[in-house]
Amino acid sequence: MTQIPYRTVRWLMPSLTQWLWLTLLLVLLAQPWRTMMVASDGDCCYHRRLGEAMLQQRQILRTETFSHTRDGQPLIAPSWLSDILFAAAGRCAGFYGIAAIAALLIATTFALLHHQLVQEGNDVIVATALVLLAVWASCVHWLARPLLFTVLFTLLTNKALRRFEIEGHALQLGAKLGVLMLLWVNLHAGFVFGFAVLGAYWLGALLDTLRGNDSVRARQRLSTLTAVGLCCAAVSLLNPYGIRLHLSVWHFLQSQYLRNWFSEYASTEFASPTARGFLAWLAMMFLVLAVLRPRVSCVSGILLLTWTYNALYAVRNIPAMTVLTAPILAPALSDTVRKHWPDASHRLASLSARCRGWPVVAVVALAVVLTPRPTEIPANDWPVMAVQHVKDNPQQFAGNMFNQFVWGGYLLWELPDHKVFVDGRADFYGKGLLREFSDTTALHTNWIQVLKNYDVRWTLMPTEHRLNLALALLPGWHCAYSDEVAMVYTNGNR
Amino acid sequence: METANHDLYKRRWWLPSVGLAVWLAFFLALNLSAWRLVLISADGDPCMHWRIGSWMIEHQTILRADPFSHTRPGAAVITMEWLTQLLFAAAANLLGWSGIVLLAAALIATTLWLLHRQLLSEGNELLLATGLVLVAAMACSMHWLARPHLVSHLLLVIWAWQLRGFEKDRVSIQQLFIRFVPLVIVWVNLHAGFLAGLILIAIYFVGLAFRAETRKKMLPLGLLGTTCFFASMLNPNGWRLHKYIVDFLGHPNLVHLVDEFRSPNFHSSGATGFLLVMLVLVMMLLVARPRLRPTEILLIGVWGYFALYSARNVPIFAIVITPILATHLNQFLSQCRDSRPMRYYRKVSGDISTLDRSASGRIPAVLIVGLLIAAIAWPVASHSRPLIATEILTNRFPVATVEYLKGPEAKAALHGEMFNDYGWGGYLMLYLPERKVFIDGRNDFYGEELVREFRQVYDVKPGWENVLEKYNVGWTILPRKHSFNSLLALRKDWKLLYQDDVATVYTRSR
Repeated sequence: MTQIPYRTVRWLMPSLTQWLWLTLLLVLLAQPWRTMMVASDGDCCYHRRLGEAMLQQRQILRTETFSHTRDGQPLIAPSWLSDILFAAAGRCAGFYGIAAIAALLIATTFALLHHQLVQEGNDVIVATALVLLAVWASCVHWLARPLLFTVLFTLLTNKALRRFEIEGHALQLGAKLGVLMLLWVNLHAGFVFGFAVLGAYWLGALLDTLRGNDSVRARQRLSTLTAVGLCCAAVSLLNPYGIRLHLSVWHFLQSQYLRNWFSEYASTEFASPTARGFLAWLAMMFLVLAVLRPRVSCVSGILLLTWTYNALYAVRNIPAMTVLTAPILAPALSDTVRKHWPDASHRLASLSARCRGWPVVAVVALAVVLTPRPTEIPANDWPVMAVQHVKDNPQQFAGNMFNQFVWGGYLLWELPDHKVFVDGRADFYGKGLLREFSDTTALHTNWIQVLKNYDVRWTLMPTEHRLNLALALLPGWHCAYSDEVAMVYTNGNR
Repeated sequence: METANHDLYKRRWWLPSVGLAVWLAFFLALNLSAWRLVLISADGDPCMHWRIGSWMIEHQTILRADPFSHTRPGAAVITMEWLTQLLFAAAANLLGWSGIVLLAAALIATTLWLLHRQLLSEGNELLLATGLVLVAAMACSMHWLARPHLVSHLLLVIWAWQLRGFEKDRVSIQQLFIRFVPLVIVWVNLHAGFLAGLILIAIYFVGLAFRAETRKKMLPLGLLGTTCFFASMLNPNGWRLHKYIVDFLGHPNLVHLVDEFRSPNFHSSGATGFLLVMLVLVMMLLVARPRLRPTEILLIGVWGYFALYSARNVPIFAIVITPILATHLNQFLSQCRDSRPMRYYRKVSGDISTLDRSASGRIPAVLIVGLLIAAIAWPVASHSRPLIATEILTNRFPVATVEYLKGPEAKAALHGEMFNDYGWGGYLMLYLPERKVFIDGRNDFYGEELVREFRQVYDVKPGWENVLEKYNVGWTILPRKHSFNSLLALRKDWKLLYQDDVATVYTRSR
């Protein structure tokens, strides 16, 4: 039997980082994850619809054309570049294409985190365990949406800043963050995370300067970070909407009503099984600080405090928190592992470092990504049959629609000839319209008036929704379609 | 200089000590500010406890079968807090709502005072101890309601204090037996929170196992825990109380119906105190880097988890970890190198401690409390206008509606049973005793099935008619903006009987 030469084996064997990347990619592109990523809410559909409209019109959207409640009003599409990417992937392989982009982004983010932890001198076992824990904590918000770019860019920004802290190359930092910001501001409104991370480093440098620790270097760091921050601020204006994008983000963050509207902005419900990963992360963080008692720099302390608070405040901040805090916690854990299991740690590290199996990983990944598998919006959660009925009987469903908020994006995508009442872009619709919408769904005293004001001719709501029960009693309205998921009521009054 | 020092050490009969000042400040603030209305009006449970307590006083027996609801009439009742209900009802029968507020304020103030005493007795600096007690008070304030759990907070301070003393060899196991066994018998009859005490013993038991020198304490502590567990059977329901609590906690749908059982909402200002406690904790871990004992790590970890799991555990978390924070921060501050802020802190702390040692103002404190009680009691005794009016908030509860429902017009129009708002159940039990409620704050008593039926109507789901039919509901009393009112407005077989800014009453046509 011929033995395969060692050099060949090296090129066939992926490193731990590559294994991690490939495993995550394969898991995410398998069921149920790929369907969950595109169908957990309607936002994936609306991003695809907006992107498709931009591809068709060959221009960036500036005016609303998707809803009858805000028709013709100025529109800011903060994730226009992601929307186009999603739509292009959708053109190539349908929802599988979008799931593939999301899976690639998630796998790349955590593989880069693993790479960063190993590169910074942490133990391979610790790096792998931490990344797996981060994956578990973050999976609560794995949705095929532009937010995934923000998690990746948060990691890259932090990585660049950590490198600057060690090496002090100001120009390199400026160039990296400038390019990142240029992409980020056009991909997702989460570019403000970049300023938050930069702000933590700036504050750390300021505190070091005030405390007089290595004051010359601290002052240099402070001035560099100030200059880079200003540069990034200037670069962030290079988007199709200029300063108006920043103002719309600011307006959204200022509004408690709008923030409370989104379930992803809610605090974690720790009784839910999906919160276990986050709970495990918090427990690990506490144990590292309480038992291993690491010496933590000012910057790390600020990042740890602010991002733990952010993650407690809103579920959607959990992934960013894990990628920012993992490099802070890893050194203390690495020291412990190396102290107790020096041989295992060293052997695994050198084995992983020798592996060069990226061609194998690339081939497998390409094969999986380029072979679309069925990815549909599930008919047991979404009004698939009802929408088909509407498409089959267009004459029955003329005029304005009133729809369930979560279904808005799906309806945008599936019924492009009809304009929705509302969809996932709550920040665009604003407090006034959302209040009218919730008054109607809650059957508040003005609910009939809202339907009249917007000249609603038909409604598409979940079968068990109270609005259906009320419409059944309202003169002129009758049930045009009903199944286990959705009911359609039409108004016969003219 | 000598004169100044002499002045500092002079006894000041008019000046209360810092601990007493903390007690007085919270007692007076809770009685005199708008907080007294929050204590009794945040939900309907204070009304429910008063009503049950009054029933027991009236019938001279412990409640064992439900006389208040029409959905579970005569069903067996496990009274988890019968003794506190009696106390609350006695206070309320004597002084009205002011009596309940007085009792609740005294419990809260005493809890904080005891915590302050504990921190000082463990050798912490007065300034730090006071600051930390104020932070703990902020965290606890998210659950300051005139309800029996306040008794648990108070007893928990004593319990945790003694256990810390036992671990540090300041309290012997004999002393623990003498103190804990009677205490747990009282506690189990006052509130179901006695379980927190047993959990604390279990945490110390596990924590002691980590160090060789403390392992010898495990056996006596285990014996104490077992004795306390069996002693806790001395309640009107015996072991059934424990089973009842475990069964209830095992039904997440039932438990999470109530907001206070859900995780803290960090968007709300109510969570600020909890955030502040966590901030102090993390800052301590990052900056002071103390060597925590295994029990301390377990206490922070276990109660931190419970607090994140359920907002009502936040006060317990604050009470349990404040002494840990105080000990390690005190140690850190005493070892800090000399700097201008530290010099200033030490000077202020020293001055306050000196002043505190000279303060012996118990008499003015007693006078102030006596004056307050007199101001509340005198109008009640003389049937004159109250100086400090304490009534249920009319914009939260259907006060005017209940007045109307007691009138002859409503009595003639109403038939069948009531369907009521969950949060108003307790209020209706107390103020409309002639009618039986559909549901009230005792979701543990009503059970999962009835709560599901209630939600079917309350959330206006298909099949709501069957539920109302099943329970022979003839009229509803719900918040004015409730969606069910809008639905009934469209029905020909229901008609509007009464409406004001708070509530709407619909009746079914005969």
